[in-house]
Amino acid sequence: MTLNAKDFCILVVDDDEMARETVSETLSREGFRTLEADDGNTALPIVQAGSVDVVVTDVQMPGMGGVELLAAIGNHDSSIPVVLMSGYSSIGKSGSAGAVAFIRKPSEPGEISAVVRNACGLSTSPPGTGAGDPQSS
Amino acid sequence: MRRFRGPSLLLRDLKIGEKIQLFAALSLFSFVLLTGIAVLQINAVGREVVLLGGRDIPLIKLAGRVARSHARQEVLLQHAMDAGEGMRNDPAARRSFAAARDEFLELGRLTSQELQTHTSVTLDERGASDDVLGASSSEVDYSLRGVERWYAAYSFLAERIFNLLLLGKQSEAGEVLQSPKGVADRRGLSRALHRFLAEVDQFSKSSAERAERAEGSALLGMLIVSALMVGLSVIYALFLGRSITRPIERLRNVSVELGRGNLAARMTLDSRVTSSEGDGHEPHFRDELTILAHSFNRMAEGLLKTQQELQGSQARLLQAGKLVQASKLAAVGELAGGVAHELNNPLQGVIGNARFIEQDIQKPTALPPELEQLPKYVQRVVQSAERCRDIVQGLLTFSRQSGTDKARLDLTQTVRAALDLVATKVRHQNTELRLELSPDVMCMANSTQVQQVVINLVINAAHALGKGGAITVRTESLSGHAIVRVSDTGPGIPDDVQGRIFEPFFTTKKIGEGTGLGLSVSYGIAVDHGGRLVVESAPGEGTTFVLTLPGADSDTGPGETHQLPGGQVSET
Repeated sequence: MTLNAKDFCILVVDDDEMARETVSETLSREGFRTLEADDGNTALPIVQAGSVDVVVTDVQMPGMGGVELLAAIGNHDSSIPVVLMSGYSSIGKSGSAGAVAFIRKPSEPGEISAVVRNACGLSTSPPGTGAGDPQSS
Repeated sequence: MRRFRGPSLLLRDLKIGEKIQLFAALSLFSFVLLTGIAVLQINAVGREVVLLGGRDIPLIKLAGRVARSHARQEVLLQHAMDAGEGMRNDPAARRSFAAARDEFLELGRLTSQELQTHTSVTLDERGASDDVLGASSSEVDYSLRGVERWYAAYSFLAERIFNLLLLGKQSEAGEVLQSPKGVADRRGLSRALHRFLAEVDQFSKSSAERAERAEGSALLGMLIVSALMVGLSVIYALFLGRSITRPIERLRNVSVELGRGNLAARMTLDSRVTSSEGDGHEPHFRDELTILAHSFNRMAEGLLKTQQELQGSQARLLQAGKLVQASKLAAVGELAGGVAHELNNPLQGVIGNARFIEQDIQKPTALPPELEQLPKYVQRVVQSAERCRDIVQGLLTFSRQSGTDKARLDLTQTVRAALDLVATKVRHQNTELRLELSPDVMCMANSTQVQQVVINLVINAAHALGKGGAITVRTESLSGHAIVRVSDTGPGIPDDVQGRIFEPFFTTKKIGEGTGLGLSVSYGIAVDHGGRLVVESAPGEGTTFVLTLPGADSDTGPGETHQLPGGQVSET
C-alpha cells in the first residue's frame, strides 16, 4: 500500500495571513490535509495533540517564533519533520539546526510542495498533477 | 626662534621708556658738561678781563697821575726857587714860596701814599694769581717799586731844597738842585716813571692778548665739546629710533604677511628672556617691543590654531553632511530588512495564487466547478500586489523626499506612516507596540523629517529593549504644541550619558551598529522646526523622548518662550 498526500496532515504556521493561506492552499491543492496556526503558541498544542505529520513554520512571528517552535517540537516528538520558512534570505546560524528544509518566501507552489512531499517521504513528482517543476524567478 | 646675543644686547633689553630716559640723561649730561666747560672757560677769560680792568687800568692811571704830579712838582719846585730869590724883602714872594712848597708837599704826600697802596695791592695779588700772571707781573712790580724808591729820593731832595730856601740859602739850594745827585734823583724818577709806564703798557697788552687767546680757546673748546655731544646724541637718537622703529617695521611686515594668509609668519624675538617665572610657562621680556612681538606671535599662533580647528571642523562638517545622508540611508537599510520580509509575504500571495489560476485554467478538464476558486485567487493576487505597492511606496517616500518644506499636516497620520515602516521590526523582536494616537493633532512640519525622527526614536527604543518589552507611541495637542512621545520600558539612560546623547557621533552602540547621528539629526530637525527634542529617563525606569512641534493652529513661532512639556523652555 502506497501512501498518498491525503494521508498526511501538514500544519502551516505563519503570522501573515496571506502567506499562510497561500502556502496552506498550495498544499491542500496537492492533496495534503492542512491545519493553520498564526504563531508558535497556537501551533504547539496542535502538534502535541498528535495529529500533525509535518510542520511548515515561518521563522519570525510575535510570541513564539519558528525557531522556538522547532525546539519545542523537538522536545515533544523529534520525529516530526519541521520545515522553516522565512521572508529573510537566511536565518540565524543555529536557527535551522534540526529543521529538514528551509523555504525562502516567496517560493513557487511547486517548490513548496516538493519540499513537503520530500519531508513526508513521498515521491517529489506525483502522477496526475502538472505541478512540481519549480520555475525559478 | 630666539637669538641670543652678547652684551651688546644690554641696551636692547631696555624698555622704550628707559631708552628715552637714558637719551634724556645723556643729553642733560652733555648740557651740564658743556655748561661746565663754558663756565670754566668764561671764568678764565673773565679773570683776564678782571685783571685788565681791576689792576692794569689803575696801574696805568697811577702812572699817569704820578707823572702829572711829578711834572707839577717840577713846576712848583721852580716856582719855589724863583720865589726864594726875593723872599727876604718881599712878603708876596714869601707867600708864593709857601704856597708852592705846601702844594708840592701835599702832592708828594698823596703820591707816596698812592704808590704805597698800590705796591701792597700788587704784592697781595701776585701771591694769589701768580700762576696766571706769570713772570711779567713781577716786572711791573719791580718798576713800580723803582718809581716809589726814586720818588722817595726825589721828595727827600725837594725837602732839602725847600729847607735851604727857607734858611735863605738860595745859592746852596740851587747847587743842591744842580748837583749830580740832585740831577740824578730828578732824572732817575723820570726814567723810572717812563719804565713803569712802558712796563704797565706792555703788561696790559699781554693781558689783553691772553684774554683774547683764552676767549679763542674757550670758543674752540666749546665748539669741539658741542660737536662731540651733538654727534653722540645724534648717534644715540639714531640707535634709539632704529631700536624702536625697526621692530615696529618688522611687526608691520609680519602683519602684512599674516594678512596675506601666511599664518606661519612669526616675529623674531631679539631680546633675551629676562626671567622665566614658573619654569618656562611664560617667558618674560623687559622691553615692550619684544613683549609686543611675543604677544603678536601668540596671536598668530592662536590664529593658526583657530584656522586649523576651522579647517578640521569644516572637514568634519563635510563628513557630517555625508554621514547625515548616510544615516538616512542606514535607516532605510534597516527598514529595508523589515520591509523585505513584509514584502515577501504578499509576494508569496501573488506568486502562489497566480500559479493556482494558471494551473486551473490550463486543466483540459476545466469545468465551472473546478474554476470556482478563480475569483478568490484573483482577489488575493490583487490584494497582495496592492500591499506590495503600499510598502514600496512608503519606503520610497521616506528615502526619496529630502525637502525641508513645512506644511500643515496631521501628526497622527504622519506618525502612523512612520510606524508602518518599523512595526514589523518591533513585532519581530517580540516588543509590544502600544499606540495612543489622538486624532486631529495638527502641526506645521515637514512630513519626511518628522517620520525620520519617529523612526529614529522607535528604532532606538527597539535597540534599547533588545527583546520583549513595550514601546508606547503617543500623540497629543498641548497648549498650542503638537507632541509625540516615544517611551520604552528599557533599562533607561545613565545620567552621564544623557548629557551627550544629542552630540553628533556620540553612540553607545558597537562600531558599525550606529552612526551616532540618529539623535543629533533628530534634535537638529526638532530645532529646525522651532520645536524641541528632550529626553526623560532614569536608570531602570525606561526612557521617554518628547518631540515638541509648533501646532498648526497656533501662531507660536520660533523665538518665543513657552513652557514646553518635559520641563524644558524652548530657546529658539
